[in-house]
Amino acid sequence: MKKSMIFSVSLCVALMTGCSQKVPELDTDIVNAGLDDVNTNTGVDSNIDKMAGMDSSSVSYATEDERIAAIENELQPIYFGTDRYDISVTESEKVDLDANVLNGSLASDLSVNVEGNCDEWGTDEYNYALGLKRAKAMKDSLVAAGVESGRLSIISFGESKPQCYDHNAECWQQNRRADAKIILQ
Amino acid sequence: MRNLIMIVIFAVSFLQADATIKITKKIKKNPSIVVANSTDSTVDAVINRKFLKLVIGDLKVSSNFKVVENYIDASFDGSNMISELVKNNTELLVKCKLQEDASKKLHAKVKLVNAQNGSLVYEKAYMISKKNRYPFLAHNVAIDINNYFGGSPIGWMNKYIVFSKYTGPGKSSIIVSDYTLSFKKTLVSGGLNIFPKWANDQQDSIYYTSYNYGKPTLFLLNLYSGEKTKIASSSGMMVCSDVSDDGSKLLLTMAPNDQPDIYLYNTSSGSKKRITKYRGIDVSGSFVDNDSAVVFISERLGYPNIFHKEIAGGKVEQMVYHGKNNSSCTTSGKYIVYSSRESQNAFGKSVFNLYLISTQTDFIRKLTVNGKNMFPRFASDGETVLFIKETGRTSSLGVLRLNANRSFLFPLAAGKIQSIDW
Repeated sequence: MKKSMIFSVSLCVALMTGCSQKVPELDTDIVNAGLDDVNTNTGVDSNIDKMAGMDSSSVSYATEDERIAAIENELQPIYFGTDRYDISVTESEKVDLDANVLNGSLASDLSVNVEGNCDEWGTDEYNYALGLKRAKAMKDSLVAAGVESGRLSIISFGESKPQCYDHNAECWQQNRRADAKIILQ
Repeated sequence: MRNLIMIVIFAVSFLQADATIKITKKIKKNPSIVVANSTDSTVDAVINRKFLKLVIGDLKVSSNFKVVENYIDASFDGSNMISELVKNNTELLVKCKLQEDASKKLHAKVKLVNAQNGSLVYEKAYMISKKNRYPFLAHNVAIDINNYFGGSPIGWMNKYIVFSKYTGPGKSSIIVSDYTLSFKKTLVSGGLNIFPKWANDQQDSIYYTSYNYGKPTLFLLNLYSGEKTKIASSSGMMVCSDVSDDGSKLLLTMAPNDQPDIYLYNTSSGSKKRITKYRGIDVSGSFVDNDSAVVFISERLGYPNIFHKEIAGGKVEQMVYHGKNNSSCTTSGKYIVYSSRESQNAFGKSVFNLYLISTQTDFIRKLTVNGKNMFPRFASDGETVLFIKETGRTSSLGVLRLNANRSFLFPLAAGKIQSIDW
């Protein structure tokens, strides 16, 4: 009952938002291009646009898992340099976008675990601590961007959850990352 | 003149006592030894062959013998005089005979013989209740031969190794094995289980970190009863880095406030004391100085390096002044072995190498020359170091014999070794 209610509210909000923006038929590429501009200038509003960019008529989640998958699909990983846990200017823009998603109507009631990850260069505790500092850096940036800190926890997976298994620099870059993951209730 | 002689004697003694100096010239000659197969066809031929190879391998790893590579056949109760051995000046012959009894226990009878005159040096019998643990029969045979001739101790061969192995994304198992990986038994599987650490010298329990309970959680697992006890949990990360000699204290890396620091945990009271307070990374605490101080890894200089701090308090002291990325270490008395990243180019010949230093001299000895060599762990003898080596996609256990200046590798058939302890 409660879930149905949440989904209904989410659906209505999404529909209303879509209507207010009058962009249900927008081409995705154009919306995304526009988003960058809006995001740079107005921050939070970009989230509304981005949610509006979704096809409103299809916003219907039969299960909590589907809702979470839809949210996580909007979130972007934050990448780090070798042995680094500071967030670059380029990546910090992605953190702002993630913050908007997490503060959006679809996700604002959910808790988030920020997962820190490392490349394969290390099998020791230091690598796990490095992953933790990356997660902490992302968490701090999300809080700075307006996400309530009480919703956020962090964890390090070290090198245990690679996204890419090839042995090249591009692949290792993909694995030096922090991801915001919705916590299942 | 007398003072000069004293100085020379002192200098020679000092050099011989310092393992950081590579000794390349040996005065004592290692005895030559050949292993003989005396087992009949009633015993599984595969096990027998592996057993004999392990005895040969153990004697080689001891570095105290000149070992003939291949075993020969010889009757256990037949003549001890083998003309070919006499001709080749082989000094020792080890006759090994395996037998399986009605209750499936595996027995090994061993005769050590003077190969030049055929006289019996000793005869011993060994037994193990489970056949798949035959590697420990072989290790015991080698340990006794080595002890008889007074070689540097190799009792560590009889210890279990515990290690974690990645099996997939976010998944790993904890496995107990012998040091050659010939015997393996999975202890913990399902989910992410990492950083296993022996809880005591008896090796009846391990500490390990599980990621299967929300927060990283430290458990104590008794290997014989299967009893699992939750010790502590922490958001972010939780690792048992070291256990004190008497098992009463642990060094944990935790991050209760999202900040990785080293804590002292009392196993009786459950109390915790924060040892390090740097805002960056402090990890991998290791007890030193009779458990009154810790050596640990910190990036307080902007890169990972090795530091020392008294548990009671006081200043942090830098221990290593070589390398710009020293992210793991092990200690034994005055010695530290650490892993140093030497090249940012992953395709370069050397990426992580191991080094040995003494806290009392300025000498540094390079122990490895290629590949990724990490996670060093001293054996109790202080002369042997176990480590993880990765070459290409192969993950191996490495054994370094410091005084003999030799290393040996034991590859893992599948998976990647995450961490080790012995």
